[in-house]
Amino acid sequence: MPESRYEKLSRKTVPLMMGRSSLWLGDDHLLSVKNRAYNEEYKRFYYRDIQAIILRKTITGVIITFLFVLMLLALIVLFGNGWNKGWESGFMIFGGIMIGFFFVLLLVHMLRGPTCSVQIRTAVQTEKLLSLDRMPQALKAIRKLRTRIESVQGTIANDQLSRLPNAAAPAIFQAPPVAAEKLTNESGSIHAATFVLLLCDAFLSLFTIFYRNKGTYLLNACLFTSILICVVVSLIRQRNSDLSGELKKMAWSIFGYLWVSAFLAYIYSLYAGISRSFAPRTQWEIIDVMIDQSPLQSTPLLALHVFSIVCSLGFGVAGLLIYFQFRKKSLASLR
Amino acid sequence: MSVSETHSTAILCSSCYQALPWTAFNADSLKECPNCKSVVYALAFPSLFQPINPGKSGETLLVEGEASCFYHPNKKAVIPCTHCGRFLCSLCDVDFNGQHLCPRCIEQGKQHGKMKQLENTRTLYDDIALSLAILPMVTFYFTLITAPIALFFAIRYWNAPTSILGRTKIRFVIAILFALLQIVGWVALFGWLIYRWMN
Repeated sequence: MPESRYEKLSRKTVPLMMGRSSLWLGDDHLLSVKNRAYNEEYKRFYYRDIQAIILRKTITGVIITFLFVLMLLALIVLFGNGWNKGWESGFMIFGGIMIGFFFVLLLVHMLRGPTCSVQIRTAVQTEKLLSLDRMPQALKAIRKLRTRIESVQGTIANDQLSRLPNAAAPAIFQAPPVAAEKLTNESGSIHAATFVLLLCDAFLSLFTIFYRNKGTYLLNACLFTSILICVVVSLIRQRNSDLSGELKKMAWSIFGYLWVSAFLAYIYSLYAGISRSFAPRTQWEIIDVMIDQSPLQSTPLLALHVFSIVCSLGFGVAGLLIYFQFRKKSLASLR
Repeated sequence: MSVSETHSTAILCSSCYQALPWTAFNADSLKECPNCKSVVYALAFPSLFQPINPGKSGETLLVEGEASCFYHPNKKAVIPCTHCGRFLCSLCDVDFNGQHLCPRCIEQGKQHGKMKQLENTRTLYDDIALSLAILPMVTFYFTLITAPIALFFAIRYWNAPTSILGRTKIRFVIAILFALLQIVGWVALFGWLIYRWMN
């Protein structure tokens, strides 16, 4: 039997098994629920204590659209080329499914509307509401929540509202209101270095499609290792830092991409070894297998290169754009 | 308006951490942060301007023989605990949903899960039982061990509180059903193997 009457306000599943976050309207409070494996964590915001709700439109949605379009274009070019060359029907069906899958994802993403970040403030805390991440859904939820809060607190008078500062505030307002969260000042230079290295990786991958030897392969491996080191350092340094959320998410996305890329490269090396009836046992043998075949002659290798180029270029460009935006904001806040 | 008052009421843009101007609040449409140009929609409520009441310290006992607080013998008792009846000073008196409780009763209530308003975490045993009953079916062999465990979880925690949001027992029921089917399957398999071995 249900113990309490809660009305669902929003729900969001965070990818990569990191849990689920949801918001529920209670009789006298807003309940934020975070699911971690087999545990539920609750946080209550009583309507009488809520001071403000701030929604901000973010550019995460634009970045996701950009990446999806890049991915779709790469797949269309790859399998369109395969169609002309008369690839096997199995390959083409697989390509069609992949294109359809990404197209549906893009469509769903665009239909859900622009992304946003919502914060709720009480006298002692400012909390980000993770489950409200899309503008239409968030605005609808906020409207419902506003009715509940105003039924408890009443509406704010205009003369009260005008007591809030009327212009960009002086330095005293720069610190976030949450005293417990001591954020370290981070310039984001490691993130920027990662994005630049990713761009280098994209160009090197493009170069190795046409020209490859052990030197270029080792250079590529060194570049990959450098990017991995930079990402790990970025992830460590961004914890409890004042870096923007987009920049932090980008570092995690690149970390994920590097693992996927490394996994795919390893699978390909095994496949290439098996197709030559020997499995590479040492790193040197893997290198031999990888450089023996040209991407222009091997479709899976070409697909691997295209994937690497598209992702590195996408993450590099999007990352640098976010980084410059963050720098601009940091400089503006210092003035 | 003093600086401290302004500071406490200033609401910051979540992007640039600069105070948003009052014109950005409670508007019908989205507004721009004047500093970082982020598109924002901000709502402010009357509690923003309500001062936080300072906590009571408890009155010191001056007259001998006067009732004193159970936890602070030198403080004057003002009210008994609704639950345990101990005398409390105004420092120990916690107003909780119209009841006056002492810190120990609140602590005990929280530990025993009697006060739902204080609960901040719960273990979902029904999900555990369901996962134990269904997920190992992918590998089949593990069900020999996991099916009895799933059955144990479902029976042992049948009455345990699940999600605070209110759930039915359907997960437990499905878990029991699957676990029983798996156990019956294993018994049948072993029975058949023994029968074959004996003949």
